[in-house]
Amino acid sequence: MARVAVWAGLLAAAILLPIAADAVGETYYVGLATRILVFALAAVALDLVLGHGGMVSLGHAAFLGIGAYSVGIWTTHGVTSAGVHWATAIAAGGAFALATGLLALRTAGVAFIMITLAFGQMLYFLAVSLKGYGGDDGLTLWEAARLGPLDLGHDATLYWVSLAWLVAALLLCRRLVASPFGLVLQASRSNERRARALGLEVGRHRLAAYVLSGALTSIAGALLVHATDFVSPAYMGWQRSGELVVMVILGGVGTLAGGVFGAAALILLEEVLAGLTQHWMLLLGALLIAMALLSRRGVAGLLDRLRGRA
Amino acid sequence: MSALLVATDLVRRYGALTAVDHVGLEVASGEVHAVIGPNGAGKSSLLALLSGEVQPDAGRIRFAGEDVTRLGPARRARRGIGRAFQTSAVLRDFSVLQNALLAAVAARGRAFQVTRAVERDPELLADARALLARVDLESEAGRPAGVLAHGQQRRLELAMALAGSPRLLLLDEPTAGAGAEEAQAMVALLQAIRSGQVRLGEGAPPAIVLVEHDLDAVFALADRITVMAQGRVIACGPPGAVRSDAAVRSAYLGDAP
Repeated sequence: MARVAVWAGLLAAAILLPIAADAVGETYYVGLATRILVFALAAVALDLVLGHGGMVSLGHAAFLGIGAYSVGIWTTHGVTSAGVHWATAIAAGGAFALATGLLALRTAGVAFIMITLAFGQMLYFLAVSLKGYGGDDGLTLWEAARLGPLDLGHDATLYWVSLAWLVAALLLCRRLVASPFGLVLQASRSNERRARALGLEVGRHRLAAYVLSGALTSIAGALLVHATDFVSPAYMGWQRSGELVVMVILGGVGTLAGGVFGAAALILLEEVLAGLTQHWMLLLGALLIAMALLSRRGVAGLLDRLRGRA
Repeated sequence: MSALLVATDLVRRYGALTAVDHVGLEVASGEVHAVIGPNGAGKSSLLALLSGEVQPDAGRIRFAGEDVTRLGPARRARRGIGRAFQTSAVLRDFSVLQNALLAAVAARGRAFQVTRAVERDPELLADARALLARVDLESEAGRPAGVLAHGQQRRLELAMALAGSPRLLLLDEPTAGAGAEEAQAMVALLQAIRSGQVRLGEGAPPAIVLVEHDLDAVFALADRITVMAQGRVIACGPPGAVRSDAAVRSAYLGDAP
């Protein structure tokens, strides 16, 4: 029960954040918080496959890119409906996940990491070659997306919409993980041989989780563009995929909510450390190592331990 | 008794080594069929062929009248071939109850259900608890399976293999790594499974193919024994006949029993 209360409190605080920021005149933080929410959505989606299905994808930024270009290409042609953007992101992201998953999921371990990385890079270079949509330089969008009466060009509105997506994704993934489907998915990570000997075709579970994860990450990519009004191939560089993996590990692999902590921690650290020194990456690296040594389940594990002591 | 499993002329090579060399095996319904032989005789490879984890280079496997030679392990499992592994293959990071729940999910064919939390599903919970009760592990339900004693892990795995009411159970050295007492307890459990005292659902007791080094266990349980050496079958028959077989004595038993 205490857990529910904590989450309700966090959610209430999150909902009130733009109002508070507006009251004290620090609206910059709404944009920063939106960025955290969007990457949290992607990290939660990645944790579904990485933490629960044991699939370490180093190509998840491809889905961010698919979502980003769904918005970019539609907007270029004058379609500003966020509903259309999202539907396209889900369909394209899901289709890309299905096609690449069918191949990638024949492998496991390091081979899976490499093949997802390769698919991600393929898409990156495809985006670079899209001269009509900015090519290497990217594409600035001059018209904000709309969701019915809502103007997503308005910072607080986009923040709330992103928050809604994140909460929906968390609830969906939690439910899925607790279901028989989720149990089988986790069994495929823990001991695939045993699962098969029980008559479970774990490959289908992995593929389904991968497709769902791809679709949700594509939504994150679309929201990212709604926030920045800018699309470029950089959204799907392999470094971005690496950042998502770091967020999941930092927050706590296999905890779902850890993705939220990880995204918040990484983005805030970047923000704070970059203000301190040019060499902030060095500090970030040291912190990541400390985290890995301190807690195997990242921030989520650390919070659990603190609560146990209190 | 009709043959439940008929394997003919199975061959499996690993490079230059022929691990399984034209092996035939028949297992009747309800029979306990032990496979023995010195290390490297091909017993575990044979079991892997029967479970579908490994495909044979030649030969055929028929199960309950159907050719299953080309089916993978999951499909064979759904047709009624259960499997327990040599090294304990419980899901170590799952709780004991979650292990049993997984087996229950598989047995009920509900692997794709997403609408309800497993741990709030009365039907699956009842199945899982019944499964644990069969092997005296109810009191351990909440513990991670990885911290259980070795013998408890073996029992849990056996329970999971039984969940789908298999018609054939493939057991790879169920007493391996167990102390004398644990081994006796395992033999007693297997006897109870064979006699139908320990089971789930209405099905008849499963036939068992038992790969085992512990000859006391083998002679206590087996209806028939197949002896392998260097990938080949060198003898097959009831325990008494195998015990007195000259070829077996020289190849394997030495001066024992």
